Amino acid sequence: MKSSDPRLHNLSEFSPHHLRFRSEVREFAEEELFDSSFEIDREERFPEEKIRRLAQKGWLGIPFPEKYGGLGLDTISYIIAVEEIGRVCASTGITLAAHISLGCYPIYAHGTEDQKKKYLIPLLKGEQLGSFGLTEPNAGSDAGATETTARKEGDFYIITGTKRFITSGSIAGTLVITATEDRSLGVHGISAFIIDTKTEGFKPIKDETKLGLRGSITSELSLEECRIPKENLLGRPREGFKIFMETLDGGRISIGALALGIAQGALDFLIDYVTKSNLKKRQWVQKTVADLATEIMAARHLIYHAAKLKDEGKRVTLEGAAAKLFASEVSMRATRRAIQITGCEGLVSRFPLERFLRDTKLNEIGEGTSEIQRIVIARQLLGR
Amino acid sequence: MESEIGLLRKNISRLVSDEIKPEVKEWEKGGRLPSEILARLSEIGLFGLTIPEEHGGIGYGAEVLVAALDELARGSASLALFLLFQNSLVGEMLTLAKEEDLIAALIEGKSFGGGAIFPEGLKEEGGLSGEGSFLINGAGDFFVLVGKEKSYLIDTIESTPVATLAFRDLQISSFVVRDVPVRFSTSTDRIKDAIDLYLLGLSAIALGIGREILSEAKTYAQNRKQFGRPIIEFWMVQDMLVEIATTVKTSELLVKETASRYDKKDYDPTDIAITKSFVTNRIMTAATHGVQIFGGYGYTTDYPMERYFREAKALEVMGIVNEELRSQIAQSL
Repeated sequence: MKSSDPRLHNLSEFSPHHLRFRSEVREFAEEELFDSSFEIDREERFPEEKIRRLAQKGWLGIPFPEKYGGLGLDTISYIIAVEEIGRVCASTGITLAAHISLGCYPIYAHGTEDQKKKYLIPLLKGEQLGSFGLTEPNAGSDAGATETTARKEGDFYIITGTKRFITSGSIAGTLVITATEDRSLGVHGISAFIIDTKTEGFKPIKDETKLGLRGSITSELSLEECRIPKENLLGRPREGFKIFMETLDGGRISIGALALGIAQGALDFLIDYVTKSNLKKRQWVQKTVADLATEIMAARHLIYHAAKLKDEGKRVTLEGAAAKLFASEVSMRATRRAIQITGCEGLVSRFPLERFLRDTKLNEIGEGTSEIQRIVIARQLLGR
Repeated sequence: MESEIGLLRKNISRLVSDEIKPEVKEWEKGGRLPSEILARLSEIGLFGLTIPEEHGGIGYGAEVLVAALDELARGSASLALFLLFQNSLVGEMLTLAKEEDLIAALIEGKSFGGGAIFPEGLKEEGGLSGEGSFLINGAGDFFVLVGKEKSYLIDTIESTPVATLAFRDLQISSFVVRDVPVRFSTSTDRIKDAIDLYLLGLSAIALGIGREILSEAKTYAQNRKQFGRPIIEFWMVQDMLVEIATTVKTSELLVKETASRYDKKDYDPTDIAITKSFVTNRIMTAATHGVQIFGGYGYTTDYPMERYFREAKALEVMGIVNEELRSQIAQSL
């Protein structure tokens, strides 16, 4: 795989440590993920052995303190990893992003010390994958329309409902889910819980067959009278909405990074293809390459700006939504236009471009569609 | 002509709803178009649609062909593409070559051509040699290779099926020819009408896909409720639907008008280039909106949106890539 021009991805906010970390992840991704990225897409296979490699490197806990088994790095480093892995194998990239941003982060940010010891440490050490059960068949963009119910019975909560489109849902060890304690209260009746997936009544129903990201798992999950100890309530009762909104704020940066990585992968492939052919003097080819590079550079600034703010402990609702919205749309345009240059060859799966296109469409949908991002941004500026 | 087109559309439409739509997902999974469905197309005369009457065909022009393709593509764009290939490049080459037996077999649905358009580096030195990465119907009984200068009819090809973004039941293959005897050859300039018809047909197939996108997306947006109301009531969803509807309407008018001019031989190649590049480009945008309106569901193979998305993208590239066509348009300006 052809390396990209360093001027495209070296931002002034990167420290020497960040640059070293980027090289390390890039080398790993190119050496160990490139070949399998084609295979797992074709065979629709979850690359368990690759996820184990990420675990060995400590990358399933990049932005969390060492005392919980994390790597003790910052958000920027984590975002670098998602971008670099996404550039080669987006299926592995989204598995990593969902684990860290959605599975681990809410427990780290809102969990008690006991919860962190019991649930976060195994996740960060990579002994199991974490997952986030928010979306339901009837609660997609309207995530507050949660139908899954939680009922308190003595020292337990009894949880019943169906979750859908849950990344790594059927293979996760620990799941953070939302459930309503009182539907009449709307979003203010929702609580968040930690569920051990060995709990009786928890059952994966099916894994989706998808357009792209076919090496990642997207599950429909059934919870039938799952009895979980009351200590597994995450945060305060009925604070679930706040928790998941904040979780998504951060998660969006990682989806933006995934989109960015895919776009960069497409551009790198294209530059290599064009320089090896007689196309580089064609002006329409030059225009495509120039537009892709410019949009990718702009998207990168937005993504790492949001990541930096998060590292500074700031809320990134506006910046995260804007970064994700822009990067995912840039990535769609980039992959779509790149294929035009390769012609029919680019439609064949021997080249990664057609996979990049299929993979990156999800970035305009997952963790809030582009429409939802626009609403989030507008509300930040206009008020509700 | 209008009534003949209406009748043809009705026949194809029935075939689409009864025999194609229920099966099409399986065809793609299995990687081939079943011979039964090809036989059904043959029964209603589709493989002889544009073959001149003196060669045993029906002798219709582009107007009828685009209507058939548009209707058929609502069920299976692969099948429509297969039909288009036979009715344009294959039919033309067989007719020029006066291959009456092959023409008869084609019309009867017993023998079909495969082929490729503008593969790089075809060389004729005694026999024909060359290779390419995108051969349509690699399982064909004979092959048409359209080169930049000359086009060839040959009997055999070494083909290897490849995995592709779309049309996975069209047996798209990479191929090699090594010093293969040429059955017939002609200058590519002489078959440029057939190439134009092929490009116009690709637009008609995109249009058929676009119609499906519009109808499915509208129904979904009317039924899917979020925030207490059908999502069709939200402006951002409406805006996408409006763009899809505008695309379908303009494409319909453009394809029809260009086909009619083609039949009257009152057109210049720019009309074809504008039609193909405009329609396929806009339909790809429509398909992207279609998946978007369906959200997570649109990303799964439970719904056909993801297939329309893949097919629309492929049509932007196939035949002659849209940017190349835009260069041609620019030349003529």
